[in-house]
Amino acid sequence: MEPQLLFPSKFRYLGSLLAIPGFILGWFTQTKSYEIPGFSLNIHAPNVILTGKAEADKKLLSYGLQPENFTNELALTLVIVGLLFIAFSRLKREDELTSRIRSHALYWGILVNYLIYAALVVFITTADVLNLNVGGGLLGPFSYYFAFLVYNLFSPLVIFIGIFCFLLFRNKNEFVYKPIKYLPNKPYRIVSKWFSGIFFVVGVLNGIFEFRQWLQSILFLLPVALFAWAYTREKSEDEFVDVVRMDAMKIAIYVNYGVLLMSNFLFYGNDFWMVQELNLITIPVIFIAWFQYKLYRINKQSEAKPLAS
Amino acid sequence: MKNSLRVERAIKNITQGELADLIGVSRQTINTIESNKYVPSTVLALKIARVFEKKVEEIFELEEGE
Repeated sequence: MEPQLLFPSKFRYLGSLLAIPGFILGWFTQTKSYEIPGFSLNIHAPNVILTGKAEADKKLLSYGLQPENFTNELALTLVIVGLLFIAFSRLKREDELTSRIRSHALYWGILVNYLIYAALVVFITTADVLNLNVGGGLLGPFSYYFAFLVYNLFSPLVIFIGIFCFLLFRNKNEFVYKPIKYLPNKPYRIVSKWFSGIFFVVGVLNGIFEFRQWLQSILFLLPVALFAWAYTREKSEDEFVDVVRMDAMKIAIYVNYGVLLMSNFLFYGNDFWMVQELNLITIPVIFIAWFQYKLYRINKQSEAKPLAS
Repeated sequence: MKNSLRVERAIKNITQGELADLIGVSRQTINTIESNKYVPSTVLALKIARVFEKKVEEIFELEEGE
């Protein structure tokens, strides 16, 4: 069980050198609207993919190409690449237990991240229904659903790194290692599957036919249902399934952040935030798809090659 | 699963750190195995057994009910 897909251990320091200036720069761009002077290009054409060609052409004719300053893109890239280096570089003495703890921390980190998200959704929705003025600052910057999209860009990695360090360094002499607990297969698997399906179909149909404005918020519940799905046990869960599961989560994180970094340079302004709403479901969707595909392949192989009798 | 790693180390008179260096893992990993909180992979168990020149089942054994 050699640890795979990890950067050399020196990348940890490189990661801090990138992430810390990135956070500082990001903080200044977000709170003080700081932009590095001259760090821009006139490329800000209306996005064809999201608005359709006719609409994009119309906007282009009336406004022309707009300048896009790359300070915030730079900040986000520094933060994400830096955090990925910190999170996924080898320890000085990386072995099977440390990489297992890393996988567990990753799993916990993602779970904690989305529990916070679920709590926020519940809080904001209740406040909306009861007409409380939370935007006024009851929870400060956390009062807006939109705020989570900003934090979600890096919060899974930050929480993961925190949990990983805790498990490794809480005790000087031994690691903290406990098997992960999942939701029981019955009834959670079927329930979460159905809820995911219903939320998705209702959200998409409402997006197309615009039945009711408030129905749109049902899409915010989709990530929660998908996560419940991801955290239910298989019918027969054993050591091997656990390894496949952990690998699938790692792949989901890598793909998620790869796509995020690309979207950072392909989409700007509001378009970027629309992509980030999708980003809320990419981790569980990639995870479920990869995990189930792998299990399917393994089952298929073991059926195709029965033991020699 | 329980193991006699601590006893074997005492017989051979090596520290956790020395055993860790011999098989290329961290000292904390050896300690976590010794305190029965982590079950090592077969590869690691075989490497440990090789250091003590014994069979794996002489060092690791199933507990009752497992």
